[in-house]
Amino acid sequence: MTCAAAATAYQRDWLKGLRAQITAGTAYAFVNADTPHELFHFMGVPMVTNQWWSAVIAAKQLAPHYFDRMEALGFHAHLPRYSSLPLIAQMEADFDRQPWGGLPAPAILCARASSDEHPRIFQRWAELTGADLHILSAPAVPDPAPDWWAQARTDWEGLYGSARLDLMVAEMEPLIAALERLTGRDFDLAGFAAYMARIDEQERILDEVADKIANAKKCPIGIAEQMPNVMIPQWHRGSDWALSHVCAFRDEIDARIAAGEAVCEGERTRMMWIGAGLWFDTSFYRAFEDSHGAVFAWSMYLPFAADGYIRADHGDPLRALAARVSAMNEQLHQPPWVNEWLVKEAQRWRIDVAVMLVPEHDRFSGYGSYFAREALKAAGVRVVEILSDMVDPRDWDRAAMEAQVRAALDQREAA
Amino acid sequence: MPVHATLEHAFRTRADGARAAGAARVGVFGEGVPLPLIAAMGGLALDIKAPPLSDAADGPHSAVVAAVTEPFLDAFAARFLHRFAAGAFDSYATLIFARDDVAGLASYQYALELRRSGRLPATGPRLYLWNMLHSDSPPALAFNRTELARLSDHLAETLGSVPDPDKLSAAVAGETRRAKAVASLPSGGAEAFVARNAGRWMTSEDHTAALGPVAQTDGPHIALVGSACDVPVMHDLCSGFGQVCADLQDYGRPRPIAENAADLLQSLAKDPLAVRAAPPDRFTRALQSGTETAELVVASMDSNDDSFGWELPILKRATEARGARFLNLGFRPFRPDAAWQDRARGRIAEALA
Repeated sequence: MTCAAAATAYQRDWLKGLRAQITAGTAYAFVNADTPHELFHFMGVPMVTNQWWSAVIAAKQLAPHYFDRMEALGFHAHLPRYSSLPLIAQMEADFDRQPWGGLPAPAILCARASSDEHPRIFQRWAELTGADLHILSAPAVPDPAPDWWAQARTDWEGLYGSARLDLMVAEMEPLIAALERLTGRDFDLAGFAAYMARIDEQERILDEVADKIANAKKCPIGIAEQMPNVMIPQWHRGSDWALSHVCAFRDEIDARIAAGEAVCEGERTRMMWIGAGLWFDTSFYRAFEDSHGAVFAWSMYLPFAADGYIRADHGDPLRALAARVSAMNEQLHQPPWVNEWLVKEAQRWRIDVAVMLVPEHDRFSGYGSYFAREALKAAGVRVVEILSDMVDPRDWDRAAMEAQVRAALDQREAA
Repeated sequence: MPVHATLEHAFRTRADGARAAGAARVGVFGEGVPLPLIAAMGGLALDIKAPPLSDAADGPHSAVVAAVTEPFLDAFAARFLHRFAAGAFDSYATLIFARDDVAGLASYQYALELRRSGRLPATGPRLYLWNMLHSDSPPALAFNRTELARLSDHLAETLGSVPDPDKLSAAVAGETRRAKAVASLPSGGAEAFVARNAGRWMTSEDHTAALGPVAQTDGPHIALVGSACDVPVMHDLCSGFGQVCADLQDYGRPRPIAENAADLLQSLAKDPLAVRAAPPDRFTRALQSGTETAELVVASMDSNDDSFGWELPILKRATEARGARFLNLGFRPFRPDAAWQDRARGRIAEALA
């Protein structure tokens, strides 16, 4: 069994357990992706991530139904979609339609105000379910360092700003208190420090893996296979299984490279997929291998494991967690952070063509796209821009999108 | 009664027509900036979010800006950036962007990046992000205190001035007098809208002096809700059908002001109608309480709205539950054309029939 299959099997079993726990009435948290998951994991509170649940709904091809429902409920059609799908499913309350038979009411809700819609969506969740709501503030970094990844691992105090970090730590404290009340357990800071150290170790191993794939003569693993190997351990970050898995993943990549294995024997072009996963049509990632020897080698999930997560604790693990979380999503979407990071990554991975998902209805993700596009072009990367959505297939025309990418690949080959 | 010519001129020409009279120009993008601090330190605060009315017809277009602005970028942000590239703010000392404004952060980040990347020259005003949180939680209050100190330092450095408690008290008093005069205007009608907003490009003294009585129309009470609207189009549409008893949109409502020199941010941070007010149910409750006397609530919003749209069903339910009517006009263009206005007028008439 490959590591990807092992990870998927582990996740399937784990999800069965989570589902059994939740449907049996165990208190759980419903949280956004850019919140401090570490606190929930460490305190043993089961957790469902909004964007992951959205991807599950989308993968079941249910998104069109819910987006139509969203408008029927009186919301307008241009509201952000990725983060709203689970709310609409919950509002509809037809649990038989949903994966798992739907989610029961969570005990705790947590979102960060990184974009304007998140507090509102979670407020609606709180009204619907009566759950305890924790919104973490998200003031912006006024002087964003373009090479944020160079400072983020150790010199993060100046990078993110002491006042912002003080704020995040102060806002995490009531959340910790709520988790203590929920579990009846005290928060053990020393134990948390050890847990955070294991996460850093895990992310450093993923950094090694990224280097190996980036430097391999031919790409040994495509993004569709990378994603479970990265995202599932990230979901369980710091656990024994996650550490063991990323080590096995590293070994598998070593073995593939040593054996000269390649996703596409005729690899001529390396591509990067920019944006969240295309959750309703993941086979798109392999559509250009036979025709153009073009391999999607890069998606953000593997390289961001290192740059977005490794944070030296300097004796204060909560502050290190604040440093990890306080600009997590912003680094992936806002200038100059996103454009400089993508150029750095494109050069590191020898990328020829970037396919950029520009979700016009998820403006937090969509803004900054053109700065990234222009920066990549200036760095010699051909960019294909796809105006679509990561969870809404209603405007997705697979044939047209493939044609757009093929045209760019044809131009590259003709050049 | 016609709006005083000075007010009409200020409203029409906006930042381009403002006279600084020796004060340093300080651009302000979005609500929630402590304006008396700027005045006390020798600056003239001028709204830079709303472009001059002539901008719709002959505003500048920069290919450099167009290359990096997505088609769905907020229209206020896009127009600001084109004007910024054209040098509209070159005479300013600094431009202050409110992070909690829906378009403030993007405008700041795009302007900063246009300069950093060399697409625009790094000359002209300094760019400054005002990060005040709209919350009165203890962590937020502590954070806001550091933000206020940072702003004070920035203004001192930029304007070459030092904070003076007496000047600050005088500026707060001036702003308070202005707010009282503005509060005496009717909440509805295009003339009151113009008179109220003209002050965004005038000193508090000049604005207060220019304000005079404006007649309120009568008829059924109508409340306006939605995203920022810097022109009185919705008031024009409602005239003849009833009186606008509340306009809760940015530019429609009186600006939140700093009321206390000893604690400049106290009232600003508690503004419940700031789109990022925390906890977010403050906004929900403020919308409902602000519209509760209206017989008709009219909603319209920008097509790139991320925030207000989440309030639509709950506000509709609350409005209808008390026997009033709710009309959602949908997406409102940045500068609505005659066809849109005709359709909207017809729907308002129908809703009140």
